[in-house]
Amino acid sequence: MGFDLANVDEMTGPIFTGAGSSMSTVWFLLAVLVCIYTLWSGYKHEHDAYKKLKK
Amino acid sequence: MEEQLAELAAKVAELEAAASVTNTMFAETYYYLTIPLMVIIHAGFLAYEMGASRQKNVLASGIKNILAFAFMMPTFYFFGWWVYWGFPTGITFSEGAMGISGAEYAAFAWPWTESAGPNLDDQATGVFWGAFALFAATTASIFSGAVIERIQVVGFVILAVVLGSFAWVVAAAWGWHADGWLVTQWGVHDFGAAGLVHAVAGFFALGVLINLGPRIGKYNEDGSANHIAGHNMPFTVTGLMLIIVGFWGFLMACVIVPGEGWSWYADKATTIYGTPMTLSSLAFNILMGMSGGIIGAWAIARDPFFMMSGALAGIIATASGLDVYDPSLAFVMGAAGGALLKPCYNFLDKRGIDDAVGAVTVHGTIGLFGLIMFGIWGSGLPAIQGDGVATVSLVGQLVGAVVFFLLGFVPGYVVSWILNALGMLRVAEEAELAGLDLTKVPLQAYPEGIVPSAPAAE
Repeated sequence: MGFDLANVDEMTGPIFTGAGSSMSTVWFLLAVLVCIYTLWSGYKHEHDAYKKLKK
Repeated sequence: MEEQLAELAAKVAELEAAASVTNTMFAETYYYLTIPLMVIIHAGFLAYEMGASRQKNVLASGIKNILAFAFMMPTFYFFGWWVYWGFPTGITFSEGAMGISGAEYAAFAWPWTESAGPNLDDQATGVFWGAFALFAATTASIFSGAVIERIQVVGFVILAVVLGSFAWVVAAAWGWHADGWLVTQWGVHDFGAAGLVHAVAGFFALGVLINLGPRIGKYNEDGSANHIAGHNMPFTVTGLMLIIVGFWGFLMACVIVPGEGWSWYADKATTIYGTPMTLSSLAFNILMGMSGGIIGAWAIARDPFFMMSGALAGIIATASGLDVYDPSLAFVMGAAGGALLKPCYNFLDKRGIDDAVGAVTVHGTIGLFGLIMFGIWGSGLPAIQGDGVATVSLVGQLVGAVVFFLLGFVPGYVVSWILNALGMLRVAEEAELAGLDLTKVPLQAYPEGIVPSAPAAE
């Protein structure tokens, strides 16, 4: 996380936060989890709405 | 042999001149095209505000929004551009470390100078001025939506000018300009203006809303809030999407292209601070932040208004570090911004702040959230070019957040208080009840009426 640079002239190649470290994998997994959670909660919300209508 | 060398040298000089012309034309065209793209932001705000207004106020809201844009251009030309170049080091008009600020430098930004009009020797000033004028107009439009249906037009225009041609310009001079004291002393990094445009405009709106008060019927006697629905949600949602289209131009204009006399590098694009970046950085992170914002807002609110506001919040939450974010992190930040929207909006709503379009939350709260969080993710990034310069830190971003909050809130509160005392802020109660279109607009928005749609699902 973060940068360890003395000067911006040292910025070459991948310049994104966490490039070359395990943080990229952490962010990737977290982003996937966000997608899965929202789909699950969306499914639940939709089906609850249908059930409510049937009652 | 000598003749051939001279011929070769002449050919090289000719090619260099041609390459220089091509680069200059590219740079000029690049910034020129950001201007119409940013005009789309205003098409979006216009649709957004008119859709969020009730039928009786649709055209009055449109008039207000259009005038904000119109007054921003001359006032930014008259003095806003000068403020940007004059104030970076504080309020002393002194020259900063880069030597591109202060009273002497700013003297070239006055309307009566040679660069402030068509000039064959200057292919940069006009397009830069145009892009900045559109940034200014964006701040005014952000504020505009919050105060619909009860603000007087002239009072509104005065407030819009204070915000667009002064308050945010000071924020930009301090936190965006390479000589800005927030940048050089605190390492503030706000590439896409989450703090210095969005938060300043959002909290300016909050300052005005406190003096303006809520719309009639918004709150009950016991203090509970009613929802005042706009007359056309599809129009509002489409407007939000247009704002997002225009933001590609806004963010594109935050990039400094290479190879010109005023560029930071001959071969690399940079942020306004001179830190290297690419347009690909924007492609990755705008799309990921925007998508995260929609998904985060959907998870909490389930309605298209908050989802599209979430798209905007997703971009704003990542705007400070769009140049260097890991795209997955941008997505997570966007999702957090989108998820925060509705609770933050409800928090203000329950405390008597009638923000008709959620501008304080979307732009103010989420703007500061994004600015501060970049202090964690981007820590250690040199703020500008050179050795031993300030670097990005959480403390620095917090200082920036406090300054941007004050630069928005204080002028908004003070000027609207004065306007209120002068009777220039709020429309008459009878006009508000009858509708502003009927009272002062010589046209009807829907002369044949509108058929109501089905009631909303819970």
